[in-house]
Amino acid sequence: MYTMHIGEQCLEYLGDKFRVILNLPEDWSNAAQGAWLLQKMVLVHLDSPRDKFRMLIFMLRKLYATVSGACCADNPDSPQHQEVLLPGSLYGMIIKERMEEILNNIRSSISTDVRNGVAVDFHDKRYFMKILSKINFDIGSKLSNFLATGNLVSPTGLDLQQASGFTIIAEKLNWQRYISHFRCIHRGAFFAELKTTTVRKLLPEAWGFLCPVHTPDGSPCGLLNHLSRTCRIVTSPLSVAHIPALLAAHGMTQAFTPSIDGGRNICVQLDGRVIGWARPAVANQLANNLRIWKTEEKQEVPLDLEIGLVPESKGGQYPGLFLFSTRARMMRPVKYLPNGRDDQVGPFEQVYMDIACTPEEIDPSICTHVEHDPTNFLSILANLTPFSDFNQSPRNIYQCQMGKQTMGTPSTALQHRTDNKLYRLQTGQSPVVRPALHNTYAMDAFPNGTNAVVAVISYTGYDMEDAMILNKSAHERGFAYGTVYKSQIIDLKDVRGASKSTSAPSLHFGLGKDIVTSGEKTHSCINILDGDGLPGVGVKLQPGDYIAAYIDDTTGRTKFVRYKGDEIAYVDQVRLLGSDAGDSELQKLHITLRITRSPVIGDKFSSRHGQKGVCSQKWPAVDMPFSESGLQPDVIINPHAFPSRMTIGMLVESMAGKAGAMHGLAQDATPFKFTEKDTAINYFGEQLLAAGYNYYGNEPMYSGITGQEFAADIYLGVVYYQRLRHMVLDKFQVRTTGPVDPLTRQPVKGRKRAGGIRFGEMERDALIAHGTSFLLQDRLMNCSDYSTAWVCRTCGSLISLGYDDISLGEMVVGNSGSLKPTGPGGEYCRVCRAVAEQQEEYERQAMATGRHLQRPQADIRVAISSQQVLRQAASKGGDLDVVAIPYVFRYLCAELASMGIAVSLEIQ
Amino acid sequence: MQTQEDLEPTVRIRELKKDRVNFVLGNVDLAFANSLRRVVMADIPTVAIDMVEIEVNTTVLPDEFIAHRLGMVPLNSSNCEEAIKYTRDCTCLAGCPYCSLMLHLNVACHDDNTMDVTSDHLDLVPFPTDPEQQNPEPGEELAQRGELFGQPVGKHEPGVPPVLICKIRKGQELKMKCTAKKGIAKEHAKWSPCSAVSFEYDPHNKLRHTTHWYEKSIKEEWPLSENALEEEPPREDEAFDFNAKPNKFYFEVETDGSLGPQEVVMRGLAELQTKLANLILGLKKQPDGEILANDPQVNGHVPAAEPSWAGGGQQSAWGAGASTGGWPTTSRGNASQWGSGSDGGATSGWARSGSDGGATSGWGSGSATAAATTTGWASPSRQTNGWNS
Repeated sequence: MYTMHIGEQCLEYLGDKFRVILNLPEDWSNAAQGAWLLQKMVLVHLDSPRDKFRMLIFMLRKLYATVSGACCADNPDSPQHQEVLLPGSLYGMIIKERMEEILNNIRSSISTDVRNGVAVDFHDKRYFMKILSKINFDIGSKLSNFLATGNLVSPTGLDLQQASGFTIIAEKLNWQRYISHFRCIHRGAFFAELKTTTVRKLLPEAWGFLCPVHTPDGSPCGLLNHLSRTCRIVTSPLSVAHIPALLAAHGMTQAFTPSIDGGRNICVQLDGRVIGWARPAVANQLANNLRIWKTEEKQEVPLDLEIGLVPESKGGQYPGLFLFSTRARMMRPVKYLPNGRDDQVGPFEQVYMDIACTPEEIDPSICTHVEHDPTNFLSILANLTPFSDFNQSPRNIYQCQMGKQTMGTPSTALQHRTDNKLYRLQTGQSPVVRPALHNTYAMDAFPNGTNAVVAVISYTGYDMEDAMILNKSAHERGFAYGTVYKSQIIDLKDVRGASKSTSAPSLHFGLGKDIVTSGEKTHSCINILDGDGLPGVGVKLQPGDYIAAYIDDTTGRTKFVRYKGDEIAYVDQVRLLGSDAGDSELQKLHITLRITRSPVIGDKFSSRHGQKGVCSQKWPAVDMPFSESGLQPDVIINPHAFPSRMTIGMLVESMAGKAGAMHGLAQDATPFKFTEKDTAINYFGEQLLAAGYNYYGNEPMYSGITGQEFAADIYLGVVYYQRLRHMVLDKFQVRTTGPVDPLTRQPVKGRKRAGGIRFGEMERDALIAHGTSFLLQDRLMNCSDYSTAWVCRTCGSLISLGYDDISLGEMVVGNSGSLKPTGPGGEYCRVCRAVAEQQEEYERQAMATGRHLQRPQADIRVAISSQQVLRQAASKGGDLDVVAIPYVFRYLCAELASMGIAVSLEIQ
Repeated sequence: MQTQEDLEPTVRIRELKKDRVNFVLGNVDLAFANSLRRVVMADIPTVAIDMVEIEVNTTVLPDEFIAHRLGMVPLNSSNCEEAIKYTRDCTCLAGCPYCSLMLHLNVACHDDNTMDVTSDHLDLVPFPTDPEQQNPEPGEELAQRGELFGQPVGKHEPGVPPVLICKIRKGQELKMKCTAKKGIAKEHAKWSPCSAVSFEYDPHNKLRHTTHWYEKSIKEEWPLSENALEEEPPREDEAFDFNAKPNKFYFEVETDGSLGPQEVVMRGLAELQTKLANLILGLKKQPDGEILANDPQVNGHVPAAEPSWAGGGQQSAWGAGASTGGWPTTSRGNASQWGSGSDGGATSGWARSGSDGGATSGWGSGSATAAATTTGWASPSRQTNGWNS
């Protein structure tokens, strides 16, 4: 030990030990290899070995402090210590790795040439050209493969915790879903498998950076987060080279000072580099200076610089002044109180800052900052929930979910879109009650629902269990009328019979001479297709109709492509896809189909407060309850939807919507606008009273059927309703008889295959508990794999059935002269007959001992009509019965027999 | 002294405007008043665009969506009862001048500005007759039509904003043929002549049918409706009369313009009578099978020649109000036909005295039973008409 006294010796030592795996050129010295190791492997963010050394020492100090209990460990799950993996840096790493691979390939191909003695002339350009031409330089294919699959194919793994699932499809279901895809942050697939829930916890450090409301419930809960509305991510490097000098000029002791009292000074770091030391008081002053400089744009301190001053504490985080200027950090704007300017704060420094939520909350002795807006900590979607501060918090989470499943307006340029599937609400409206941010984000251009008159009443019972009753007249006037756009691509290249050559295709769109276009024998395709073989725009397609026609040159006949869907569709657009130059023959079509989806019973709707429900009836308008002014609800929901869910926001929205509709106001529904003193109920109650309504939004209503006033007054108002994309037409499953599994003869499963729904174990338990055995028999046997089978009464076997070839009413006489017993169709049990015959043979031989009577062994079989048989047949081997069994049972018996297990049934 | 039940029904018109009528119906049963409301909302025939043949649609809206919007456009339907047949009752195959109307919409934008396609662009054209098809038996319908019959409401009328159908920009075109048919709102809401029917009784809640929930003060939280002025506020010392029944009903019928308000109400009463007559007819013992065969439609109107009810035809049955002998050809407000109208207690409008003509046997005398069964009998007809579809 301790033989290394100077740096050079240490480098040589390192180089010597590591050169085996470093794979560096062999002519490098040990010292060079050691230096390379330190440069590339140790604290890579620092260039100078001196900085690395200082950092290592700092780490050592922190480690000792942690072990001694003077400070606590940093929490890796806290956003305070996290930054974001941005797609750009990931692409950069992939490209970098791919280029490295290319360079290595060049090197290895040259070195093989050298080794193999090929003439290598490093002064010859042509040789390099030859080498380079052998190497695959395709970087794009690797990147496009990554983008298409989300799988990271990399020898190093890029230090990431997962190798797949990096990409998702940005679904354009509606605007809310689309924007959410671009503002979400996933913690990583690795954590999803973790049993502990600590990583999913919502930590106070996340305030203002990650939305506490907008996270899915279920398995990705807490792992898939969304950025708060004002949170942004620093994407460009900042110029901070002058900061160390600036700080030194204002009292920081520089890092190279020979002696520093580590006990009294705290470390000053910039981007993980020790730049100096300072007394805590000085550090505090430095931090304040920096903040004033950066907010006032002085001394060229960038605004996005994060100034994390960790104060000294007993057992808290390790103290120091940590400055960050790197990319991929989250930052958010707040107001700096001393000069009233905009400040950007990061998650590391925020923990030690005092930021008031509202100007009223500012305590001058503590607060340094104030939020620009108290709703800034919510994501865009959470901000679009009206009066979300009145709701129980899980309901706001549900609304963030459902807002993304709403049939809304995905795009304002639907005419030019070619998405696989798009949902569109034709009769979208601007909500009467909307938060201020609705206008900021111009959501009126992307309406997501309809204002509906909603009565909260238990009427007819069809609104039980979150069902809702729709007014039939409202439905007929277009309430929540939606459309689904689907695409079908027809490529003649992929069709059977297409020629392989690209120059002259053998298939052409069009109608051939074999199609009669007029007269009595007109081909049925004429109603749909034009002479060019393409469907007309606006044509109605039934399931299975022709959607395009093409002529096969080889046969000269016209062939058709069919519409594959199972719903009536209309041709919305026909796109002709060709080459970029536009000089090739038409071989590819893109057809947009429009499927109308008027709301039907079973479709799902929801308000903006996590109150979803299914339409249970379309109730005639005359039978609907009505108010004194003749107002009839579009939607009836049950009052039981409220007590346990506590969505007071919806009740407030109802009042606000009613008042807004009466006075012609767009009501502001931004959360945190009302206080205990100035309540929303009073504000909207006064408006309602001014419009002649009851203060609390109730109204006496009359039964539409009898005209009598209801005994109770009804809460009636206007609520914005969303239509969710879950529709019965996509989900219903029905079957009487249909396809069965060939092996078990049980019905197949799956909606697409006209299968059944499994009647499982628990369902069976329910029927047993009810004692409905006949129903049980019906479900599990008669409607499933009922079958009849021959079973041997003697041995109980199901699978030993044999046949004698006789017609009905005949019997077989064997070679022994005895009648062979069979069933009516000649059925017998092969096992039992074999046993019986063998028994008979033994007996006969025993009797014949000494007499040497040998019967001829030839098998003579004679079929005699059973009426002419006097003697009873021997009982063995023919005693069969028909039983009803599930077909799988026979399969089970056969499977068991193959394992040498005989199943025996006892017949009574 | 007469009890309330013996009083004759009264109607007092408080306000009559072009598109609405506000009246007080008195001395009738709650069931009767509600039946009138229901009939007015759902059973009065109007014409509306029912089929659209699209030739060109290069707008941004899909075909079926424009067709739906066209269906919602109110068309002038005054005297619809006689001016047009139901297509199902017509002898023609798919449509003829007697049961259908043809409107053309042909708009193209050649302007740089966005253009509004409105109901004013709908042109009523004579219904094309198919020369090959055998002409249906000519009816009286065409003669019964008013000048504006079938025109979109408010067309060429200053001050009435038209109904917006679609917006088009330069180069876009909309060309379609629309067939309007007669129908009732039970079938589809587009055939409803009413936009809202307000209905109220007992504004002071003297009958205690309802309870007004309040937090602090019922007076401050529950504003009284305007109709409360019509009735005396309850006194503190007044005992609760649990036998009292509602007998004053405040109506306001607002129409979409396809029918005038008075025509809507008059038609409603006539329709109600027809329904009750059919009911009585159905309840009567059938003398022979002939009538039975003639009576398959529960809802359709019985031909006036039917002998078994109300000696006269329909018109004589429902009142002296229609003294002109036929329907007014236009629906526009013509208060004189309403009797003395808004000046208070006069009841001559369409209140029928109990002794008035043969209709007494129709429903006057049997009002108690008939009214009681109205709602009950309404439900089977609902099913026959496919309400739940």
